[in-house]
Amino acid sequence: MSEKMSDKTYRSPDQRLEEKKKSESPMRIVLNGLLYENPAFRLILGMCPLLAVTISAKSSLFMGFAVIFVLTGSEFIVSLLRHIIPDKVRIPAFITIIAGFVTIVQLMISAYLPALNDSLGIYIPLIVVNCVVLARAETFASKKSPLYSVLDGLSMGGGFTLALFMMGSIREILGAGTFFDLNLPLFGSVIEPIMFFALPPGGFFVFGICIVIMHFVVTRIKGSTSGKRNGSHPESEPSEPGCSSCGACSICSESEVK
Amino acid sequence: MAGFLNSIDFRGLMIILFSAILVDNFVLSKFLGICPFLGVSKNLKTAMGMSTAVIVIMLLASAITWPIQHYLLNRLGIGFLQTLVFILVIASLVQIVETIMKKSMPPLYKALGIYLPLITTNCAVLGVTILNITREFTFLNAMTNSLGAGLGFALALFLFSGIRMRIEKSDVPKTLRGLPITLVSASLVAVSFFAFKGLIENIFA
Amino acid sequence: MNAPYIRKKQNTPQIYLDVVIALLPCCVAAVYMYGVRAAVLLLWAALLHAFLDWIFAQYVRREQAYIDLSGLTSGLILVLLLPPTVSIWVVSAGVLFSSVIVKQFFGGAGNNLFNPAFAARAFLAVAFSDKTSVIAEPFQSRFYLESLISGPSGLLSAAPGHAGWLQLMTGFFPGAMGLTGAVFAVAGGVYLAARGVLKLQTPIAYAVTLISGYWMFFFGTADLKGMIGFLAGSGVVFCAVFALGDFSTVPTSGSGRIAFGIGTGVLTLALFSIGQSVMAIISSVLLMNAVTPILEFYIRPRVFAHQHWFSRKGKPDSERFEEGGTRA
Repeated sequence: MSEKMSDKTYRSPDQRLEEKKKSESPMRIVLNGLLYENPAFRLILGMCPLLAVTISAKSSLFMGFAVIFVLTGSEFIVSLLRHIIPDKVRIPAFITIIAGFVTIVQLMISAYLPALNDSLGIYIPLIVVNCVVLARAETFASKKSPLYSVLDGLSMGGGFTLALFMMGSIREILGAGTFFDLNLPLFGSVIEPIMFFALPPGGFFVFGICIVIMHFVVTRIKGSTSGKRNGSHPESEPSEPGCSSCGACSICSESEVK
Repeated sequence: MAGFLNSIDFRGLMIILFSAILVDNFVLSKFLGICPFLGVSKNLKTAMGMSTAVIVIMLLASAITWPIQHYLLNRLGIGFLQTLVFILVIASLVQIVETIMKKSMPPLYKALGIYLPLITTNCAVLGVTILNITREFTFLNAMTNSLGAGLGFALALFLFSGIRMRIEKSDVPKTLRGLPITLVSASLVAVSFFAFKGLIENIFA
Repeated sequence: MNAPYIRKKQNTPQIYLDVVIALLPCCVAAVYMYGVRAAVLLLWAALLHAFLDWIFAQYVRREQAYIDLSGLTSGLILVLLLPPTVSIWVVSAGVLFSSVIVKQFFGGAGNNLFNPAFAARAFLAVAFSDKTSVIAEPFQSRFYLESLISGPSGLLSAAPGHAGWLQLMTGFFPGAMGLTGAVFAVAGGVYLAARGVLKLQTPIAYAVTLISGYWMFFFGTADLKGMIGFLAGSGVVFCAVFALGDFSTVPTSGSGRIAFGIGTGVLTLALFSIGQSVMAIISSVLLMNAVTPILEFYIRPRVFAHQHWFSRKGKPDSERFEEGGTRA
């Protein structure tokens, strides 16, 4: 495992420099969040809401907006305070900032959209422990300027929302025969909705298939833009969940599950 | 003592315990703790180490957060701070347990220590403490629910440590190898777990 | 060719041919009870399953393609587990799930983790719950072919009434198409055992668990007729022959098989308390399939040089499984 990991993360100095330049351009940040490093389908982070709330397109879209708000807000604050927060207590500080934004979302939802509170339920407070948020605060916002951090928050949150929406649409159309609670003409008369997709097993299944589809899409794009990047390039393989993909290894101290 | 024992609704507790393990399995039905489920279920040793650590922390966290919510936050009228307080409690609890273990129980620390830091960001732990409050459990019910949630997590990890070993040896199509095929098998196991719906109430009726 | 059979004298197609022959009595009974409709469904499912398997092997896995008879057996078993009123679309969806997802995704026949037909039946129960939970009376009418597309409407749903001895044994009472006929399943089982395809440890352990469990739970009211009715009428015999006798989804060692049989029996008894006998049997088999890799590891086969999934690619994996690959 360790051998494989070092192989995966190894880059020559030139490559690193090139990547650093690329990752700093705004366009690259946006593309990274939406596509190449899509937090859900490429980095495999934050799977709990991705599987649980994607029963309908509507609830998954609202969940996505909540994540965008928390992610952008906390990345902005973390980035502003990045020189003030002492290094030793930065993780509790990050968690507190994120929890603050989550509480704002919770209060706003229960005030203005009480119906949503029932469908999203426990998964709103659980944004606190969503790896996407903590990992971006640790790996990006604590090192970059506020403007870039906001951009990163928007693109990463957007990528996550895109993933949520994709899964929510597939599961709602196939599982209930509706889209945003509207009946689709094809269903009911010709094709029966398949309940399987609306239930937990369908969540696992659709997620697995989505990862495969995104893998195809990204390798195709990369293959067409640069001939050198073929399928064996480390970036083109979706990550395995766990420490290697989360990028926030320092949170989990130095120790790592091997 | 006898009076206290008589006052406990054992049937209700059994229903809560087994529902949490089999029907509302945290991993297969509620989708909590998916990251560690996929991350450490690759072999039996890490799966069991992680599960033990999760069960311990879940029980401790529930035992601490339940009184905090009912005797502190609700009394002071600041129930909305639940999320903030709970995650900080869990984070510091994990830290304290790690320190105590390191000093006084080195063999145990050697076995479980590496899993403890990962638990802070395990949504199953925060999830079970919040669920205990939203479902308006009594203290005893809350502890039973936490135990059931932890055991359900352990069951899923135990099953998948075997399944993933076997999948790795099978001739799975290249694009599906690794995560996708694990998710497909999780889907199939979740289908078979549907059978337990209604079973628990029937057996303890 | 396919790993689990490497020790056997017969080659893989021969074994699957035997299973198809063993399934014939059940199929004939289903056609006798439910007419041309059952025949069409059985034929369609078997051919479609074999065809999908072949397509996948040819174009996705790019293997040397051969006609794999395992597809026929899975297709036939799937239809026999369904009520006769299902439409051809439901059957096709089940076959697609069984072939592509349960079998080919996991590496084709011999590698599959779950029993394809049983997993597909559970999928259909979740996906089309109202269509697959119908209980239809046999011999009531010969169904028309055109109703295959949408499924017959307004049909003959009947509660299972009192069944006589003959009915119990032959399965000529309302239920799934092939699940009820104990005599035909036994006939198939005897043929398979005589051919050496069916290893008897699992079915026997299953039967012993069920019988002892029956006497324990219904001690006051139990009688011989009730027990035989329970065994013959619930479909456990079909399951014992065609699911517990499977190769790739059941442990290979003798004691592993016995543990598998006992586990399935206990789960079946527990799930029977909910009332849906078909799903109780199917779910208990699937749950035990999920446990199989662990049973396989703890209860090792004793034969030396036996090719097995956990030693297939040359590494001594026994340590890796326990120690997490971090052995210093």
